[in-house]
Amino acid sequence: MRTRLANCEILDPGKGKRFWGYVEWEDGVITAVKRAGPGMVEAPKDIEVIDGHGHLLVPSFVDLYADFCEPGNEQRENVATGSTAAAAGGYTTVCVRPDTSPVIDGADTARFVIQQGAACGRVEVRPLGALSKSLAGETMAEIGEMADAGVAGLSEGDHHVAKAGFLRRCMEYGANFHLPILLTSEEPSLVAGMAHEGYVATIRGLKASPVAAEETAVARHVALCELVGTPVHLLKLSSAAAVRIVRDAKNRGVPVTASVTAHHLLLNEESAADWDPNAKVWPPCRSEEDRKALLAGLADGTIDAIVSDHAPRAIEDKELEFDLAVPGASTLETVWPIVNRLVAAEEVDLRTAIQALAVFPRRLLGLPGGTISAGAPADLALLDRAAPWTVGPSTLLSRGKNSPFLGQAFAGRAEMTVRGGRVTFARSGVR
Amino acid sequence: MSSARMNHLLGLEGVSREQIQTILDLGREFKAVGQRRIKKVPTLRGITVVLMFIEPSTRTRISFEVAAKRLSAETLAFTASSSSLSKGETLLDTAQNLMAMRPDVIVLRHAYSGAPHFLAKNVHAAVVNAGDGQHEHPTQSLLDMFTMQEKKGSLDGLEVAIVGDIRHSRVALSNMFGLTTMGAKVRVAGPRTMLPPYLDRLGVRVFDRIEPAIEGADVVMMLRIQKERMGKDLFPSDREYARVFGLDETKLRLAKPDAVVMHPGPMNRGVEITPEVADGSRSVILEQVENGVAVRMAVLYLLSAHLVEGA
Repeated sequence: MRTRLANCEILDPGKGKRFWGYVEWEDGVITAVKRAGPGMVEAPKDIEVIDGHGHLLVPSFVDLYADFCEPGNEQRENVATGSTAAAAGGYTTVCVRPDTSPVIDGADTARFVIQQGAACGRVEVRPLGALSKSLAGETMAEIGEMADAGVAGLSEGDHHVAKAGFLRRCMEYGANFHLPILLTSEEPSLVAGMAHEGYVATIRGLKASPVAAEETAVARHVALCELVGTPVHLLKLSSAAAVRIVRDAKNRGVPVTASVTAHHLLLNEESAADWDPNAKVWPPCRSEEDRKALLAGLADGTIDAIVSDHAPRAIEDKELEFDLAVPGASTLETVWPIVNRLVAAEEVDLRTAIQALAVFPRRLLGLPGGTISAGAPADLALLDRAAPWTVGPSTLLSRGKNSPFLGQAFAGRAEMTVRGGRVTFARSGVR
Repeated sequence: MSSARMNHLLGLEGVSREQIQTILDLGREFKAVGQRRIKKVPTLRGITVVLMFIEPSTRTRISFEVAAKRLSAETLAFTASSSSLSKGETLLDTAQNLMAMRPDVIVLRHAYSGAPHFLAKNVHAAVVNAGDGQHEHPTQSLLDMFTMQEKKGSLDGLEVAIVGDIRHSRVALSNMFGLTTMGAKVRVAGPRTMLPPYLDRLGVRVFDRIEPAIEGADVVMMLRIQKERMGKDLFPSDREYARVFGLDETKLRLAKPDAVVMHPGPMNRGVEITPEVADGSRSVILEQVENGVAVRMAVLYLLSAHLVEGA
């Protein structure tokens, strides 16, 4: 059965053109992309036709870094609820963090997570395997077995690898299996707390982490990347200093790439000024200058990807004093709304953003797609850009209601997600 | 008495000069009450004040308790040495349990910054911040300013030096907000390990050494050094701290001849202040304690007098 998604504004980020038309697919593969409309046009009788209502159609998003909390913290989220939230955010593939309980540091846990994802079927769930056993930074995890089990890459999650020599060996060994290495960067001995060390932390008495904590760790990771010569992806940069180091490294040909979260592109240190536990994220949202540098880094290609860093948390994790609250924000369903707001404010270019959400992550993981053309997989996201909605416990499908944007109105969100030709999410009214 | 009302007293950031002066003026009237033989007035009869001290504190809790009792308010003491979390309860649970007692005013001392603000958003009672983490301690600053005004007449143009652990001191932060609002000129000094960034944006001058900071000062306020910070990586030893950053009679000679010495207590005698200075003629440390009761009476009055039936 052929399916046609018609009456859409199609954006193929690789080609950069935006036009009105329809997309047809069969057996999970795009068979035709045609200019038509705006509006519905007549279709042959044997085709199932979906009205795209004039929304933006892009390749579906792929997330490099999310927490689905399973196994071990299912009160926060599980693979099924996380998958549902991801599909509702326009995603078809999500890489999940290894810092679960037990840790994803072997083939069994990796297979379990992959199977949980397959059972739900809304998105492809790909675990990131730990570099070290139990994330202790001492003994190498069974990287080869995890590679064969299907992990998407290697990562120590939000953990810091204390020993640079150990990290080097992990990077070298991981290269045997052609797995990307995705690292977060913070030197823990510089950290007193989880606010940005700046003016707001000073006047609100917040325990803080200086830019130098990220800067020194990013510099170390770049040096190791250069030494080993294999690709390293630096997750969720937060500071101008980190952007500067990565830009310089790329100019020198170091095989480093980088990402930023959508919320770091929108928020600055003011978000924690009223001690809102839901605004407690790691790394912290930093100064306005840092935010501007992240935007500039995305614009000039220093930053390659936008990640969700989806970190759903339970009520008891968050109804606490700021210093005691568990960090993290439930974000999969607000990434596109944030990006759309930044595009409307002319802070982010739409095509660049879609590349960062849909194209680069596929390239890093070696996945096909990221384009809307005949022969490509029918992995698509239909995005509204205008209809107002308010973030709240009832509008988020994730089990984690811990959004820094609770009560805030956004314009537009994902309306429909297609994975391998199958509609994995459709907001009521679309279909 | 003044009819100015407040909803909460969470900090001195953003509190106007007029509001602060109202509290200080009212404090003067209440100080007179404390100097009578019968030190009790019926002003807040029927008002319930919960003293919720989730961090060890003796002097602030007693000061609030005396203040409430002198105004004839009911007091309920609720002390715990740890936060809700260690009991498996969230701060919101604690707040809701408190509300079951239907208090009019909650005085909260808490180890974490922002806890009183969280409480204020979630309870129907006036909240007084009695010190939150390393954030603010507004009534301490009010009693400090009250004492300065009493000794010096006016805060406007007064040169005030605050010396010690600025980064972890809620007393310092409240005083920087309050004093600059009242037109005083604030200087701070201490080890750089204990100075937070962007102090200049608060309109204070930062000094590396105590000597230039107290030179020509009208008020020298010494802050307590927490014992647990000694010998860690913030400064080498209490011996060196006493010699370099502590206040002794020699250093005090740099201040104005009529300068007063203050300390929020409890003191580490021989560390940040020598016993000779602490007990000397320039010390107003015990008067600060007395004034604390008067100022806290004023705060409780402004938060709850409108609730008293028939008032």
